[in-house]
Amino acid sequence: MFLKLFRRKADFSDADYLSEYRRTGNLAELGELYERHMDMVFAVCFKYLRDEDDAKDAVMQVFEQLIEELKISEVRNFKSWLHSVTRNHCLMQLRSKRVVVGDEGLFEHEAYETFVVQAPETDVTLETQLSDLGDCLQTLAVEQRKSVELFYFQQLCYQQIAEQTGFALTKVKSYLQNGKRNLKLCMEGKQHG
Amino acid sequence: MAKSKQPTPPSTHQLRQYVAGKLTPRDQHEVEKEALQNQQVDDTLEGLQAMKNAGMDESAALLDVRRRLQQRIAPKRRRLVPYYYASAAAVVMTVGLGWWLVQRQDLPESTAKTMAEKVLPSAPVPESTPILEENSPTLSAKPNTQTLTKKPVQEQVAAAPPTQEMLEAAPAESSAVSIVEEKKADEVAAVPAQKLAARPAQAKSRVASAPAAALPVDTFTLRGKILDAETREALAGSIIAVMGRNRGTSSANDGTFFLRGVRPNDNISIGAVGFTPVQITVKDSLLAPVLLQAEQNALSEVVVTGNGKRAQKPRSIQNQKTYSDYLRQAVQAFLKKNPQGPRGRVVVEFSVNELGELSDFENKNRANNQLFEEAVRLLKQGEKWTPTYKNGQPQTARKRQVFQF
Repeated sequence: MFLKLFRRKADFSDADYLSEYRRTGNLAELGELYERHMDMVFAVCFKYLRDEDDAKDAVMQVFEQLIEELKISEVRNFKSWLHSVTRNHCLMQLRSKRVVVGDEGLFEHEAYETFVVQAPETDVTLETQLSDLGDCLQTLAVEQRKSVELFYFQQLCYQQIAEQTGFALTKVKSYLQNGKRNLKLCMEGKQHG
Repeated sequence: MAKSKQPTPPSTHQLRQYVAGKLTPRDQHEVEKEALQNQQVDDTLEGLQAMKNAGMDESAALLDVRRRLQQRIAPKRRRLVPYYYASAAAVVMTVGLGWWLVQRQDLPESTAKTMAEKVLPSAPVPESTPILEENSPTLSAKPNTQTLTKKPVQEQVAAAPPTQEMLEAAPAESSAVSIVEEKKADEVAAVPAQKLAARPAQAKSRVASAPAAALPVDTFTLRGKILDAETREALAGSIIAVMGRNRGTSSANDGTFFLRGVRPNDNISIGAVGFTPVQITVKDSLLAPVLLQAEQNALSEVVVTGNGKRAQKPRSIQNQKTYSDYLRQAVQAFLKKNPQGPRGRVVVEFSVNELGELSDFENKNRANNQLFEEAVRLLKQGEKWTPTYKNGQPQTARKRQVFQF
């Protein structure tokens, strides 16, 4: 029994755990898998709920949710799936509590996620895209353009950007996010029209 | 897997290092870039950052959650725990049993010792012992050994000091006394020395002449079996009673009975429905099988004679079951009517006067007042009671009734 446990810890991938759990319905399997990602789940919960105890409860509730959902649904990338389950759970909780936390952030995320999902459509000719990108960059607000250039072209980190430009550290990220979104909208507009 | 296709998303460990500021600008950039593309990384990162800002101990919190998770998974493992308890209980029981056995092994030795002590002094006076055995069935082997086995320790304690004393004082009397002493082991244990030293002669005479007379300890348990004289079948439920005293029992299904507190020479009446009663004077603790003759006219007629009201406790006119059914239903109805109401046990004490009326209700267990009032209401509303009769006269008496709301 101990050997078995040992081997599992070392070799089992998330997928192995999942198929094992679906086969046996053994909570211990799921528990071990969950423990691997629990720090992530907890961090995400804390990000949304901003309360230690609420986050702890949420971690347990998400686990309960997994027990049921994993019996039914096939999950390919467990970690990202787990993240969206966690996130949805937290958002539901916030909604039910009617306490809005970081509302400015939430709306941005919704938009930005769709961008992320559709990002890998790089089949269109690279040339036009690059020229479009150059044009679009010019349309951006100064802060956004600077941030995007420094981050993506010069590959600096937030800290360095903040030091160079004098922007507040927290602002850099939102400039980047907004800049990316605006760029995307601009590019889409050029493609279709 | 996903890992090989795309650049590996930073692990939570890396993110933690990022938050702690332990990464190079280059690595920081990688993390940030990943966070911009991957919501999961971004959320985790922000969560970690928020925890750091809140000054929270992440590892402690995680430990707590992990513990809760283990508890949640536990039902599978919990099954193991009873095994532990069971084995622990088994060990305890084995040890206890072993100890008990050892104690029991010690026992025969100690009794043998006391027996030896007894036999020694009785040797010089052979006349006294036979008399004892003949005259008093109480002192026959049976009850003696019973007390011996039941109270070995007291027995030893009680028997030892008087024997010594008697050896010095009066060897002739000692045998009788020591046997008496044995019988009364438990009662006498406290004051054996004084009593025996003060009146050894008296003790001896009592035992020798009239065992049935004054000594309360001279009682024994009468055993026997009741049979039908013709069929030799066991008679279950026959009544065995000591005449003139308030003692009695009935036979079991196999016709056997045990009647405690019987004295030698007691008259025992044995009867069963449809059989002629028999009277026996007790000589020994074990009765020979008692044969009862079937009554000739047993089934021809049954005469019922009433001799006035006997002394009895107050009770409801209806039989007990109907009345308690009434109370139970009433309580149920009350509970249904007041689902939010208080619950509990109410002990009501009240007087039943000569006319069977109820009064002077008392809340004996200081139960909830609402419940108490309801209980009183139910009692008043219920059937009338019959009063107590004493010497044929109705009397006022107190009575208790328990309600379970």
